[in-house]
Amino acid sequence: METAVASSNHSLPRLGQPAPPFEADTTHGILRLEDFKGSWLILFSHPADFTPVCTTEFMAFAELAPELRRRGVELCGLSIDSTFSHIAWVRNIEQNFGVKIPFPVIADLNKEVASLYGMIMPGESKTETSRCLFAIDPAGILRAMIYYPLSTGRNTQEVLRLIDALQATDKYGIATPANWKPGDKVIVPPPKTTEDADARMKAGYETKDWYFSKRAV
Amino acid sequence: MPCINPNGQITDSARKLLSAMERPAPLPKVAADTGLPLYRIRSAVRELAQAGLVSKSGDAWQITAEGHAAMARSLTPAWRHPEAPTLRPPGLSPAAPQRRLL
Repeated sequence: METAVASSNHSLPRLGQPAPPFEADTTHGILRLEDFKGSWLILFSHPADFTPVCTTEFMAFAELAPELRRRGVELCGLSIDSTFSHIAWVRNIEQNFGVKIPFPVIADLNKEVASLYGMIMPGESKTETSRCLFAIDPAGILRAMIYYPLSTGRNTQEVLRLIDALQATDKYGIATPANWKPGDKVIVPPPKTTEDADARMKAGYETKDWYFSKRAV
Repeated sequence: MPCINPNGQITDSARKLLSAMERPAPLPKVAADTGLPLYRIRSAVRELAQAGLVSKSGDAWQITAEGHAAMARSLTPAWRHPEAPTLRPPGLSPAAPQRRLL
């Protein structure tokens, strides 16, 4: 079965909105976006199978998979290659590097999922997906996007940090400062009224000024 | 997760899933019992349901009579399969299935 989608909307996805639904052939059979409901999903694209940077990325994501699984996060790859190519490539990675790829890979030969998620950057390539990554929450809402060019492999530790930050935001109702990592103090959302601003100064947080407070979580 | 192979028989993973649905069970329980991710269970159950091998009642899924039959067929060597008796060459003993001409 070729990849099919539930919508012909080809605009770029938007943060805070439902991720575009899809049904696609993968190395784990036919999967729909809704199959991941209840879990976080990292949907990521790579330019092509049997290419060196993508191979390093796949091994890095495979290494990260157990940490993500502990956080309730599933991985799903995608490129404009066939299922047969994906199968051959993941077997090749296991044979040559000893790394088993545990996540499914979408075979998006007709580019429909790639188009829905804005994964093709014609200025870079019209036939390959760029290195795009989408963090989708358990309710199916698109929470974060990362776009990297063909030439630059991604930092999977940043992906883990992103998931930790998003999950901390959901759990504690806070925001996370630059370079935050688990264990660091978090940002208390700034007050929205003068009354709350006055109260904030006495709230017991680590406060520099009424709009800048941190606390431990 | 492909549940039915090109020969029309259920796969090992499908057999594992069907076994986990001998009694009515919601999909998260099936995932916990099989150790497979929930997304794979959902995908597989969709395929099994289309083939009539499982059915849903409320939130629970259970193997059907057709599912039991598919399980039995998958455990039966092809040369003994009642639908394929002619596949066994005349005179070939069941004790020597490796010589079957399949």
